[in-house]
Amino acid sequence: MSKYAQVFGQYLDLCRQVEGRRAAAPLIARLNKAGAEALGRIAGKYRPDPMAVPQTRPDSLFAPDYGVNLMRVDLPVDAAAAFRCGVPNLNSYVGIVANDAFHPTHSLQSLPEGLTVCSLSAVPEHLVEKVINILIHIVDNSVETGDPTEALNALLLSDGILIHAAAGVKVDKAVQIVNISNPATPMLAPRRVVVIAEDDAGLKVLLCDHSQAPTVEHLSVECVSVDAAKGSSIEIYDIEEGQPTSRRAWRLNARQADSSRLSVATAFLQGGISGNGFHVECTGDHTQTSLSGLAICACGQVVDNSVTLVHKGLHGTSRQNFKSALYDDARGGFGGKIVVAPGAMFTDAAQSNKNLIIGDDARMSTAPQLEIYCDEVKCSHGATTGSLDDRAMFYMQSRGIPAEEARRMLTQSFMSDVVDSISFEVLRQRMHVLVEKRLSGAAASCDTCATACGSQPLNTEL
Amino acid sequence: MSDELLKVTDLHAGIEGKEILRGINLTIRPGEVHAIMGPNGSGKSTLSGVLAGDPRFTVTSGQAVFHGVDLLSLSPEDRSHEGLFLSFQYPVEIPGVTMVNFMRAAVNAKRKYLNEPPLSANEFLKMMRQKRAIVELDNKLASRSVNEGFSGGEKKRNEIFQMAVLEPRLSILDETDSGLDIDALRIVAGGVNKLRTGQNATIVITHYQRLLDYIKPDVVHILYKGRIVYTGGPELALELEEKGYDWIKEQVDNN
Ligand SMILES: Nc1ncnc2c1ncn2[C@@H]1O[C@H](COP(=O)(O)OP(=O)(O)O)[C@@H](O)[C@H]1O
Ligand SMILES: [Mg+2]
Repeated sequence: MSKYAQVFGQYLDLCRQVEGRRAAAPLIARLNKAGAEALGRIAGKYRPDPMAVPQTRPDSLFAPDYGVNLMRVDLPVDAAAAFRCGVPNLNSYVGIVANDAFHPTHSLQSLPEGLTVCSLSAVPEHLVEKVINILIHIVDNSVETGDPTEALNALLLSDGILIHAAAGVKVDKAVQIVNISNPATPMLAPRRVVVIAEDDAGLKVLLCDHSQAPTVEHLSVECVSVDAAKGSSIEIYDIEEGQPTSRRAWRLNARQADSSRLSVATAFLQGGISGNGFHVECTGDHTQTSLSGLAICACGQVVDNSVTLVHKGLHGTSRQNFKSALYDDARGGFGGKIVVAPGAMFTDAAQSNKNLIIGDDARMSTAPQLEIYCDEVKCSHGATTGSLDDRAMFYMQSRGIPAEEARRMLTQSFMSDVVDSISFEVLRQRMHVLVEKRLSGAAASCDTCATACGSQPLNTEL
Repeated sequence: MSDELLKVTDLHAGIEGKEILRGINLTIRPGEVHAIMGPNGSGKSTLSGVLAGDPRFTVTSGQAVFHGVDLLSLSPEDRSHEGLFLSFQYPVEIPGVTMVNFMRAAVNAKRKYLNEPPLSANEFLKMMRQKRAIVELDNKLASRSVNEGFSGGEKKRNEIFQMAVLEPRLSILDETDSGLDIDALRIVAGGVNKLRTGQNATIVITHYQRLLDYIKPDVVHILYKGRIVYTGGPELALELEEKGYDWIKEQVDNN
């Protein structure tokens, strides 16, 4: 057995030991089964992506012997602490995921007509087949790509969330899912959010990742499964504010039908090691896709964003804008693949990856790729990695602005277009503040940074 | 010594091992205007950069004492706080940093250095308005990124605006006249003159007599090949305008 087969096989073994004893709703049981089958096929043939930052690869993230709460032992959680979230007062519909269990809040009790937010074990009858089809499609697809993350999540999942907007229903308020990790021992938490917008529906989803376990290593395996039907519009925002002990394997899998719009913006503000994958399939015509990510990393933090965007329809438009600022010995990675399938004429795809290296020992690897099987398309990609403009630094200092502050202002301005592209206004303003706060801390040395992490400056109400 | 604002003694400096300043001596007293002239490549910008703390340059020997403070031991920001101001020959564009945020950071950093509380939003905006008027700078520039998309004239007026805000004891104007039409030149020079007091001093670096018609120098120096080779009164500038630099070059090169 290869070393990789062993890494992933340990989870198959774990589930086999409790087979028939896991209490799960039929939908989740079916997903577990699909996950087991898919993982069985991937585990043997897995080969790590040579372009990804090694620490963020599935074989590294899943290697430790984490506990998984398959038998649903009740773990205490301080739900009130979730509201010490960095983005308060959004007036959103809030759900909390404590480690791997969903806890609805009272704001979910009176949802507008046509909006469903529920546990995956309580999906309304008329949606069950739809949800399972979407999920099985994603898991089966992942066998082809060879990424075991979706299959592992499907195998281990005990609870998850469905966010569904019925045809024509446009929800103004955001649905906010606050993930909290606070295990007492090293733990893997599988999490899944399924986001479905039916024809012409509109949804905003905000995902916030928090950790209250600064001394215990924990892996969050998060899958966001998105289905955007004809003419629908989905916005997804993801903010990571973890601990140095946080590990994250995050996958977004989305399918877009005719004239749908999908916008995904992620932000890494605090955490440990974060491997993020985006897989978007634009199957319909006239789709619009916007993917963006910002990462501010310092002292040992590692963030990798890897995108596969497939254009299959006519007149698809996509924009990707990923930026990172790397302090100290942080590591960043970006892999961006645009595939224009045969027949996907008039595709207009652009990808940009810009990185700022601020720390002497920080490193960034970037691998843009275009695969174009069609004429009549417009595709562009650009990647730059550089340091702060030393002329600008001196100019600012000569006006009395201390070097540290000049650095912060320049880094903030470097990031500003990613934040400005957030169309959800309250969140955009909030993100500007969060980025500024983060940069004030990041500019300090590792020692002071660790202290700041301990005191959780971003998690408190401002 | 109390009546010396800046005293530069035998200053040597260079870049990447190449010596550019080869023994500069210069004394400036409060209230004075000194002009430094000289052909291209003499080291005028290098001298201003070295005094302001441009990290590209390395000082190899010599001293610069600024109202009793060892200037060369200070960071660029502290030189600014101590009252040194450099108007850049080529002002730097900073995309994404607005003029307002830039100036607020500069003003409050200085106030912090002087143990003064930060200005309130109102006080700050009022000051910006007053100072802008000195160089007739458009209000719209405040929300734009620093120097980005500014015309040549706007950039130079923006430099003098910043000077007005920071109220330096010693201003070094490096070719502030270059690229200005006569109206802009008059505005810039007028701004500089309004800011003159008996306590502060100005170094005007220029190629041409033109600016000196508006900002009257007390002393004129000629910098050539990294040394001040000639010092005289205002009439020296007129002489240079008439005869060019060749006679100076000949004298120096033949010695
Ligand atoms: N950044 C630099 N790198 C290399 N050489 C430089 C640099 N800046 C100036 N020099 C050199 O130093 C000398 C003096 O330049 P400068 O101080 O700009 O002269 P001035 O301002 O009198 O025209 C010139 O020979 C120029 O080529
Ligand atoms: Mg010059």
